[in-house]
Amino acid sequence: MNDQQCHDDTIIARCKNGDASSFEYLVLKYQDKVFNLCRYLLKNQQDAEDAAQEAFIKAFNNISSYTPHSPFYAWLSRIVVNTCVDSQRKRSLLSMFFSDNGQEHIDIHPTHIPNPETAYETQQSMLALQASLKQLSLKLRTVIVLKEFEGLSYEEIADLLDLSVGTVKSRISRARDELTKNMKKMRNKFFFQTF
Amino acid sequence: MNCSKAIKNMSAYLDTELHDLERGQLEAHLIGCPACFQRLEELRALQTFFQPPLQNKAQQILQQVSWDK
Repeated sequence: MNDQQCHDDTIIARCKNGDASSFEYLVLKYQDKVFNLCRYLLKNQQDAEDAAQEAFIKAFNNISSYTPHSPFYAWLSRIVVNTCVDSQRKRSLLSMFFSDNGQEHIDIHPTHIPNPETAYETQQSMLALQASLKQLSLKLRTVIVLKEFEGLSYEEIADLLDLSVGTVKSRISRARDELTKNMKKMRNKFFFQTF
Repeated sequence: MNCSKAIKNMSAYLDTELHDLERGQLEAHLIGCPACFQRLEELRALQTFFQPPLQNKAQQILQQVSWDK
């Protein structure tokens, strides 16, 4: 167990003893990661903000069920993913009655400051990737986001989503195949529009 | 290993999630199959889109350096 995990566990022990203000430390520490994960999983910025907030509230309300056998963020990210899946389900039900243009922009690398010389090319690639991610089903988007943005291993993703490692392997493979096909289509479309 | 099996294993290969035996079989197949090799390169290119630009990493390193001082 590393120093960071020990420190988290000390804070969590205080939370469990009724010190609600200690939870603020955890929110400040993980809010960027949680919010980015929500943005990658959900298509809408407002939904992502709501899901991130809801996930922290759930974490706080269930902090007594956390045991320091695994890192706190692994436990928290499970709550975040489940909250996003619920949010997406609600959104799907609502979209049966209300249209959603889905024009929100997902910043793939939120802290990235574009280099002017390569900005245009990078922007095109990022837009294509962003649009392709949106086209994936939530099942496939979730595994590829956890793999590529969260850097989790297949075993960690399987544990987080209650899936077998074989299913994770298969879904990541399908997600990449679909992303590659979608991005090729967009590249061709862009080429013919430009020339 | 045939092409179908090779395609199924490519993603896991890039993620270093294959066992030694499967990795060896895939690499042997790739040597003799330009189509699968091309497909692997496409998947490898896709991975680079997910990686933050180098300047972002430089920024992170600089921030780390200032923290360490």
